Amino acid sequence: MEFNEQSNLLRNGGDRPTTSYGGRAQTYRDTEEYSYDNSSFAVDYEGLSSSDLVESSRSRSKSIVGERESASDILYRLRYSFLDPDLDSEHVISETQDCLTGQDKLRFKEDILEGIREVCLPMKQKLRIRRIITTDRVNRRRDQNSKKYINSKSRKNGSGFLHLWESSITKLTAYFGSTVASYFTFLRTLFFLNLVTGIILFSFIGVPQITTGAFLLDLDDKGNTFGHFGDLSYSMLFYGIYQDAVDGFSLPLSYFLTWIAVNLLTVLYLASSMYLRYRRSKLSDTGSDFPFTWSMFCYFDFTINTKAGVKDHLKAFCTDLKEKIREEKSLEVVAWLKKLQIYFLRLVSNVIVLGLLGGSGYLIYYVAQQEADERDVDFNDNFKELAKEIYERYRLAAVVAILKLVVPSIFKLLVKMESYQPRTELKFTLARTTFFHYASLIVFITSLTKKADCIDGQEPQITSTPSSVPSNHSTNNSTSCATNQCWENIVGEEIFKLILVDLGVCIAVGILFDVLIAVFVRTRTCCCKMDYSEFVVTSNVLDLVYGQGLVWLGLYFSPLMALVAVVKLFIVFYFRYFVARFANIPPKKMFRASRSGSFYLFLLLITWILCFIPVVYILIEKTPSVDCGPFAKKDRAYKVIDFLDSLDDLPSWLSWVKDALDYIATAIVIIPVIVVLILLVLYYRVKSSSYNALIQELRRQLVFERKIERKKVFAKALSAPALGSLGKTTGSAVTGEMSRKTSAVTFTA
Amino acid sequence: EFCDVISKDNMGGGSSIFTKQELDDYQELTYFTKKEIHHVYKRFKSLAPNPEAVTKATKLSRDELYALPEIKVNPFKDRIVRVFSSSGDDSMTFEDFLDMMSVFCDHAPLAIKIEYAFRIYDFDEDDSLGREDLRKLIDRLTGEMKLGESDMEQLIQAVIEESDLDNDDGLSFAEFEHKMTKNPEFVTSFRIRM
Repeated sequence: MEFNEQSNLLRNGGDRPTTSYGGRAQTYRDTEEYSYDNSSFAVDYEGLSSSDLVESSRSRSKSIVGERESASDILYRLRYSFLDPDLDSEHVISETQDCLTGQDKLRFKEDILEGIREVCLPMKQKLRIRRIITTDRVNRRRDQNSKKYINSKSRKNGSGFLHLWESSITKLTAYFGSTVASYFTFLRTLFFLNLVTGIILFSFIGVPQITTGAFLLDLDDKGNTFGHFGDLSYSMLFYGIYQDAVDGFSLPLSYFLTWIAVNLLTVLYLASSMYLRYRRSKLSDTGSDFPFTWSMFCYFDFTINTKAGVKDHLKAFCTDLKEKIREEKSLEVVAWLKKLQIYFLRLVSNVIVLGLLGGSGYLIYYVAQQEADERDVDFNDNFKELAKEIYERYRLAAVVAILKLVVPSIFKLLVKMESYQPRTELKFTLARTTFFHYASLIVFITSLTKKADCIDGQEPQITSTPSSVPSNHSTNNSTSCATNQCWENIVGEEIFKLILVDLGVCIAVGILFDVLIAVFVRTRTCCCKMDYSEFVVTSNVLDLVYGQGLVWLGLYFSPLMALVAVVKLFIVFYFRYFVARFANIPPKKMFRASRSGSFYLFLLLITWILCFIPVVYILIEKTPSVDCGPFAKKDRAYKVIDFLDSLDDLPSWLSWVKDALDYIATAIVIIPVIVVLILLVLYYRVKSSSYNALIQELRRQLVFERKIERKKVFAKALSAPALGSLGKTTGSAVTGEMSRKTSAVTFTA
Repeated sequence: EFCDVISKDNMGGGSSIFTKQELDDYQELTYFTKKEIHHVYKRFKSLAPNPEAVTKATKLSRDELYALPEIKVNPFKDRIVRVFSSSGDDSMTFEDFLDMMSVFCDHAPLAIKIEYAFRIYDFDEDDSLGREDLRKLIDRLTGEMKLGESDMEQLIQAVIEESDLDNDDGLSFAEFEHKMTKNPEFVTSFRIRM
């Protein structure tokens, strides 16, 4: 056979080849182009140097008559050109180029030019290759393509506005690393999201309102004040002021549709960015697949570039590693009695958690149902009166905020009692805290909207005669429906109060805990060994998500809430930034998913769903208040869309439309739809878990095949008669060659 | 003198240090835009002891490169400089420097980052991450706190067990790539922002 004289690089198990990166020669050799039947020969490898091999391969490649190397072949060879210091890449390329003509030549050049960037060569060489390839004709064509590419790139990089606060974030990254930076980038995303929302709402709802000139709600004929913020209650911040008729522009319709549009935009943005990130991550959220390999090679964060930052990062790495090693060791059989004890403790703590959730829900509901005495704030009263007034007004918001502070800390303590692995511990705490946040939000909003219901069961009258009402109901609380004054405003105000109190609590906690501890540590006043407080990314992110949920809840009741959120996020950013720079250290334990950022988007999406549904329910079920707001004359808010309103009186030939719509909304249709959707979800879950199982199986097969191949070749080598120079080969060398070949072929697939 | 005047004016006409052809080439061969290339050149100049005399052919020595703030405290700075130095003696021209920053930038694709990461972590340059390489890597990563010998052994053994599929007691490039493509954190860790 003509290949007998060809040489072959064989690797001995313990012998390192003479040149650098020599091991990849084998991979390079075993491409389809150069496939050959290697069971028929084996070679003396001991005296070989890599230049012999390359020489022979080159001569062999020339002996393949008529087989020109394509662009991808050449690129492939270039990738391994560090093996071959004599490879004259330019010569090869210009030769091949000369052999081709016309259209082939052009395509060859383009392929090379596109692929050359991905090859790991020094820049000098790449430039030389480019010089050979580029001629005027190719340039002209590529210029058109590349202009588009360059433009898209520069657009991505050049817009400085989207990179607001970039320098501050970089400064933080230098010390804290990417995890903490991801919190701040998430904050920035929320900032822009709220800004866009606020601008859209303002321009479609606020501007028309401004043109009417009415900045404050006119309450002369009502006599009853309901607002808690003085003049602000009647301003454009809240629902009440928006009128139902503006010249030539239907403000109610615009109000309703803009709100829907903004929500749709939000969910589209969230879903699409989650989709993109998920695709990029290639389904690799299973963090426990290769814990050691990943922590060795992927943990170290190259973006940290301060000495203290690197030191803390490496310390965290060390602790993380030691923990992982302990975890491995601790997977021993636990005594039966100890297991029982652990399970009992877990049961107890779960019961406590449920109790806490139920208790806080009831507390919020109870406080919301308390009717505040409606009194004017008179600043001439003495301080006690003022304090009582403030207490009564901010009671609900304070309760919700304090619960939000206290209950997650209790959860953190509880989970220690349950003796989980550290990572599971973190997941449990995260899940419980998220669930608590959502539950408190839902209870809050439902108990507030109960105020919109009529207490004595009457249907609210749509045509109200305000002049006759106040004389009866100016002093007592609402016992009749007609005096449910502007419940949307009340709800909006409560949410606004909650946002303010939330911000206040966040700043207060930050100052009390982080800054004060930092001052103690620096001045060493406390004798005990205290360290700076850590920047806990997860709870900060949950706070942000909670705040955003509040904003989404309130968007219907107060269109400019988004702009309030913008201001709030601005304050929060700088507050957190300065606290982080002066009083925080990087977190010692890292939550794995937090670097990629798609986890935050997922939380945000869930929050959006959970905040959209109650408001939609309110829209559908509750009657808008009769004396304020754009929907004052309507029976239901959505009837502002004429089509839906006129459903009641359609021509008889279209009445089947109404019947159909009514039918769809009944349980007979909805329940099967829900069941079908659940089945679909289950189906996809089963599919994905079976793919996972397939992956595991294939991996096992891969390892198994390696072992079997080696044994086979070993046996063959031992039993084969000596073929000339075979005498010097050993079984392991042949095995090494085989394993490298099969591994290369399988992996590069 | 005319050339001196031109080289001093760095942002003026856009392509005053580089010809249009060179700038196009750099833009095509790296993952930077023209503006970023100028920015990288400015940083390169700032590292030189005599910034005014810097041309494209200037070579920065190893110690001058180590002064770059982004890699000054990096435990792997010697490997980074060695891998990207085209002459192999730890000195870099501007083109090498540009290459390095391009690989570490946000827009570089995963494949090229994995390739260079493998070279950086391969201390003995034998195209495989063997036990000695892993040992050195752990030493660099643990910094001042050393791992005990048994812990180190256990760790190396665990890594080899997880990732070495062909039982040659080390990670080849294919195995390394196989593991790193599955981890989304790799891209966020392995980057340096200028």
